[in-house]
Amino acid sequence: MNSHCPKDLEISAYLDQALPAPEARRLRDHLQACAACRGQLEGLRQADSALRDLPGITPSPKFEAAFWGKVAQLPEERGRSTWRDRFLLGWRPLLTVGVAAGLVAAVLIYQNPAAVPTTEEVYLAENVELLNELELIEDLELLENWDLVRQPKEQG
Amino acid sequence: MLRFKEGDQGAFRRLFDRHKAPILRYCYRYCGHQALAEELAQDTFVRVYQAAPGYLPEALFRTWLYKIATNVCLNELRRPHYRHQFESLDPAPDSQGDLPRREIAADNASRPEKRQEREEQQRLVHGAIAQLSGEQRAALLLRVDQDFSYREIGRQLGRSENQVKTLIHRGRRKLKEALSAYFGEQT
Repeated sequence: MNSHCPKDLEISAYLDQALPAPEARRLRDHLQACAACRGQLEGLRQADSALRDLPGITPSPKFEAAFWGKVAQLPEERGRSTWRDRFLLGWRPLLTVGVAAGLVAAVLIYQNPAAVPTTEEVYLAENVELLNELELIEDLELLENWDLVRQPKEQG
Repeated sequence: MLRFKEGDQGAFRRLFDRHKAPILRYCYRYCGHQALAEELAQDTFVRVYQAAPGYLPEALFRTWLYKIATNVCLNELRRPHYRHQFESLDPAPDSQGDLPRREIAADNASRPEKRQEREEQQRLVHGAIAQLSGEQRAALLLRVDQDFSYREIGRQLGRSENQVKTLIHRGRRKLKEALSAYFGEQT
C-alpha cells in the first residue's frame, strides 16, 4: 500500500456501501489498480463472512417458560400505568384549554371595560334576594324621589 | 406493538414468536454463552413488555427492539462478574444449530476434518469478539449480522454515524487480525 491508498476506515465504509457516491467511485477505480487494497477489502469480507457463519443456537426447552415466568412476576404496573398515563396525559390538555380560555377572557375584558360590572350593579346582584323581599326594587324610584313625594303632602 | 399497547395480549405473543430466535442469536453472538444469551434475550423481551404503555412508533419496531437488546447486553458487560463468565466460554451444545440433524450426522461422518476446521474458526471468532469493547461488538454485529444502517446503529448506540463507522472499522480490524493466521497471508 502506498500514500495514494485509501485509509482502512474508508475501505471498511466502502464494504458497507456507506461512502458518498464520488468517494465510492474513486475507491472502486483505485481497487482495480491496487492489489494491496484489494487484499485489504477481501480480508474484511472474510472477517464479515466468518461472523455471519457463526451458528445459531436452539433455545433450551425452558427458555419460553422462564420468560413468561419473569413476566408473571412483574408488578401489576401495566393496568395502573395505563390509568396513570391517562390521568397524567389528560390533565395537560385540560390545563392548556383552561389557560387559553383565561387568556381569551382577560383580553376580552381588557378590550371591553363595560363588560366589567359597576359597584352598584355588583351590590344589586349580590343583594337581589334581600331587595326582592323588601320590595324595594319596585319602589326604588319612589325612594329616590321620596323628598319630592313627601313635600306636597306636608304642604297640604 | 401498538395493538399490544391497547391491550391485545395476542399481539405481544406474535411479536415474541417472530423475534425471539434472531434476538437470541444476537445475544449469543454478543456474549458467546448460551445460558447467558437466553437470560439476556428474556430480559430484552421483559423490557419490551414493560415499555408498552409508553411506546411511541418513532422508529421502526425492529430498530427499537435491537436498541433494547443492545442496552441489555451492554449493561451485562459492565457487571463485575461478566468477564469471568465470558472467559469460561462453552461451545454451543448445538454448534451446527441451523442444519437439519441428518445433514449434521452425514457431515460429521464424512468430513471430520472440516468440522474441526469449522469449530476452530468459530472459536477464533468468538475469541476475537471477546476482545472488542461493548460498543465495537454491538456496532459490528448490528451491521454485519443484522444489516442495520450506520444511521440506525447510531440511534441504537446514541452515537453519530462517523463514530459508528469508526466502531465498526475497529471491530472488523481486530476480527481480521484474529483470523489472519486461519485465512493465511491474504489478510
